[in-house]
Amino acid sequence: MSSRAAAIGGVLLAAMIAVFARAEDGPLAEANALYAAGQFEAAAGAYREAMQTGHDGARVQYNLANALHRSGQLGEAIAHYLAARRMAPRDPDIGANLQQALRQRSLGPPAPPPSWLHALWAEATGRLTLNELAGAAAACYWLAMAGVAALLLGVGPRRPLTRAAIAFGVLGLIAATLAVGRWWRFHRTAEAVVVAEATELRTGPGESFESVQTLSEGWMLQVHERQSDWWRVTAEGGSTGWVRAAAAIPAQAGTGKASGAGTG
Amino acid sequence: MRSALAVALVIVALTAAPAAAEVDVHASLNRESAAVGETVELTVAITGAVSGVTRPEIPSVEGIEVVGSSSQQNITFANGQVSSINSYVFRLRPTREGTFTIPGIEVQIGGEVYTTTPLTLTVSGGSRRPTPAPSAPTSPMPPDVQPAAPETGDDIFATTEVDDRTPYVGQQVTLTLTFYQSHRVRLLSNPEYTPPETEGLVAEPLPSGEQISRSIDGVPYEIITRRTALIAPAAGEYTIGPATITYMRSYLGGEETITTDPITLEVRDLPGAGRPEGFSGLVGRFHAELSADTDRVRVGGAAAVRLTVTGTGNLRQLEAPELPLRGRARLYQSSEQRRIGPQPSGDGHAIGGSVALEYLVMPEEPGTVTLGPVTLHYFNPQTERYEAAVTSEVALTVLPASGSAGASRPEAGEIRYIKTHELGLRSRPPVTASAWFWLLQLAPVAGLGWALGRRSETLRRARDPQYRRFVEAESRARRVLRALDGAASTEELYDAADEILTEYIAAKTGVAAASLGPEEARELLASAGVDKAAASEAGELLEQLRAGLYAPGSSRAPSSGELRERLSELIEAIEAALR
Repeated sequence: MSSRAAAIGGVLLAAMIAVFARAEDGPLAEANALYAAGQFEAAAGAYREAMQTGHDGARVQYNLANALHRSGQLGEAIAHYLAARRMAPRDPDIGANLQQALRQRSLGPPAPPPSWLHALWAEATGRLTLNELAGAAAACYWLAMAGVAALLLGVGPRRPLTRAAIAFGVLGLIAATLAVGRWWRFHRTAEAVVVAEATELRTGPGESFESVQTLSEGWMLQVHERQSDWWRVTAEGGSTGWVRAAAAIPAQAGTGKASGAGTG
Repeated sequence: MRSALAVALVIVALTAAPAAAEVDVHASLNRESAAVGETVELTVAITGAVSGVTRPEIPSVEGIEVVGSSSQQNITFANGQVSSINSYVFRLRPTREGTFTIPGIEVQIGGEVYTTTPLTLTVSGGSRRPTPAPSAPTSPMPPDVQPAAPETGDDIFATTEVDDRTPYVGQQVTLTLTFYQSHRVRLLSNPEYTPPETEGLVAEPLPSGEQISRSIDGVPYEIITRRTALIAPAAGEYTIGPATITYMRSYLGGEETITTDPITLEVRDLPGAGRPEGFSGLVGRFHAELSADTDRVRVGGAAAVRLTVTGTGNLRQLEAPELPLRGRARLYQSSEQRRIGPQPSGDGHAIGGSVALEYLVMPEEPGTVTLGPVTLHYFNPQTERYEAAVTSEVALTVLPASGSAGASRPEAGEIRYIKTHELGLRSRPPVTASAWFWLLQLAPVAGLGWALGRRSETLRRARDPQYRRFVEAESRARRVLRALDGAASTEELYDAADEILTEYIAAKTGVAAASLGPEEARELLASAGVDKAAASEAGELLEQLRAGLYAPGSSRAPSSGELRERLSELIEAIEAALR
C-alpha cells in the first residue's frame, strides 16, 4: 500500500515538475528542445512562431539570434542580438555572442569610438535601459522636489535637507541626460542590419542611382527614412545613402523578422 | 600610428637636414610698376632653411610705406627629400611717383646673414583714386564708347584691377571691379553691372566685398567691389574687356554708363625646369590624405579607401591619380565627390575646396594589402616651384572568407548557450511613451505649489499679527468652546463663554477685546458685513452672559447646553459672512 502510494506520489510529482517546467519555458519549450537537438533552423522557425504570439522579450530574441547564428545567418543573428541587448543591456551572454557574431562578419568588429569621450558616452547610455534611466530620473526628481517642499514648510533639519535636495536634483539631471541620450541613440532612429550577402549603398532610392559603397552581410545601419522599398541610412563608417529594404532588417523587438515596437 | 611615425620621420629628417641644406633667399615684387596708392606685394622666400630663421626687415625707402605683412611655412617631403619654404609677404604702398630702389633685404639664418638682390619699383603719376584704371561717366553715350578720362572731383567712377598681370598657366588671378559713388549723389536705382569679356579665360565669380564708406580727398564715397577669379588654360596674351556699369541719376538725364579700361594679361607657361614626372597641371597649394574605413577585411568582402585632396588652385583639373596597390586585390574607383568653390584666403577669396575619391578594395587572398602612398605634384605660383603632396600608406589585414569552414557557423563551444530561465519573455514599451508617466511627473510640481502657498501664509501670519488673529479666531474659539463642559460653576461657564465670544468678535473686527460691549459688538459686526440677525444675536448673547455673570439668578441667562449651541451657530454664521 505504502509503495503504491509512493509510486502514485512520484508520478504526480514528476507530472507537476513537467507542467511547471513547461510553464516556465512556456511557448519556448519546443524551440529550446529543437535547439538542444541541434536543429537550429527549425528552432529559429519555432522562436519566430513564439514571437508571432507576442513573446518578443530579450530571452526570445537572444535564443532566436543563437539559432540563426548557429545556422549561419549572421546578419539576422546580429539584428536579434542587438534587439536583445537593447532590452537587457547588461546581460553578459548577449554581449559575448554579439561580439562573436560581429567578429565573424566580413567587415570585422566595429571600429572603436573615436575618443574616450565617445566611449564614455556609449558606455553610459548603453548600460541601462530607457525604463531604468527614466525611472531613476523620475525618482530623483520626486525626492528633490520633496526635499524642496520640506524646506519650504520648515519640516526637518535645514542643512541635510538642502544637501539631499541638491544631490537628488543633480542625480536626476544626470539620469535624465542619459535617458535622453539613450532615446536618441536607440529609439529616435531605428537600427538595422544588412542580411543580404552584399548590397549596394546608392545615392538615391532606386537601382539607377550611383553606388556609393558595397555593404556586406552584418553591416549595421541607422535608418533615417523609409520610402517604399528603399531606406535612407547611415552605414558603419559614416557613409550615407539608400539601400533596398529587402536587403536589411530592423534590429528591434517585435514580431517575425525582428521588427516592430520599441522597447525599454 | 602610421601617420605619427611618418611625422616623426619627417621631424628627424628635418632636424638632421638643416646643417647640410642649401639655403636660398630670394626677394621679388608681384609687379614692377604701379600707380601711387596701389598695393604692391614684396615676397621674401627662404628655401632650404628649416629653423633659426629670423623675420626679415624691409629697409626704409622714402616714398614707400609698408601697410601689412604675412608669412607662411611650407614643408614638403618628396622623393625622399625634405624641403622647406618660408615666405614673408609685405604689402607696400607708394605714396609718390618716381623710380624706387628697394635695397637688398637681410635675413639672418642660424647666425649667418643672407642678403637679397635690390629691387626696382616704378611708380607712375599720382592718381586721386586708389586704383589704377578709373573711368568716368559717359552718359548718355552707349556703353561701347571709349571711356572718358576721369575728372577731378567725379561723383561716380569705377576701376578695375587684377592682382597679377603676368600669372602662370592655371594660376588664379583675381579681377576686382570697384564702383565709387560720392555721398553727394543719389541714384534712382541700383547700378547694373555687366561683367567684362574674358575670352579664353575660365571665370568664376567670387563673393562680393561689403559695401564700405571711405573718404577720398575729403569726399566721402560708397564703395562697392565685385571680384572674379580668372584662370588661363594656356600661355599667351589675354585681354579682359571693359566692364560697364549703368545707373540713373535723374529721369531727365536718362541712363548713364561708365566703362572701365581693358586689361591685358601676359600668361606665362609653367617652367620646364624641375617639372616632375606625373605632373598633371595642378597649380596652387594642395594637401592629400589617404584613409580606409576599416583596417580588416575578409576575402570576398570590400573595404572603402578614400583619397582626399584639399587646397586652393585649379582643383577642377584634378584627375583621379593611380592608387599604388601591393597584395592580391581588385581595386575599383567607386565614387567621386568634388566640393569646389570660393574659399576664404588671406584678404580675399581663392577657388579651392576638396575632392574625395573613393576606391573599393576587394582582397583575393588572406594576408595584407597595402595602398599608397599617393604623390600629387603641383606647381606653387607663390614660390614658383614644383612641390608635392604625399599621403601616408594604408594597410589592410585580409582575413579568410566568411563562407570558409567555421567562419560563420560557430561551434557549440564558441557561443554561449540559449537561455531557459533568465530575461523576460515579452518586451515592454518604454514608460516614456505613456501619457500617465508624464502626468505623474506633474504631481511634485503641484505639491511644490501647495508648499509655496503654505510658506507664504505662514510668513504673512508672522508678519501681520492682526491677520493672524483674524484667521485663527475661529479655531481658537472652537477649541475653548470644547472645554466649556469642564466648567466647575455657572459663573465660570459664563465667564469662559463671554471670553470666547468677546475675543472672537474682537479678532474678527480688529479691535481690542477689553473694551468690547454688546452694543459695540453689534455695530462692529454689522459694519463688517455680518447680517443683522447674527449681529443682534451676538449682542444679545453677550448681554445675557454678562447679566448671568453680574446679576446671578437672572432669568435671561442661558443654560450650559443652549449656550454651547448658540455660540457654535453664531461663530458659523459670522465665519460664513466674513469668509
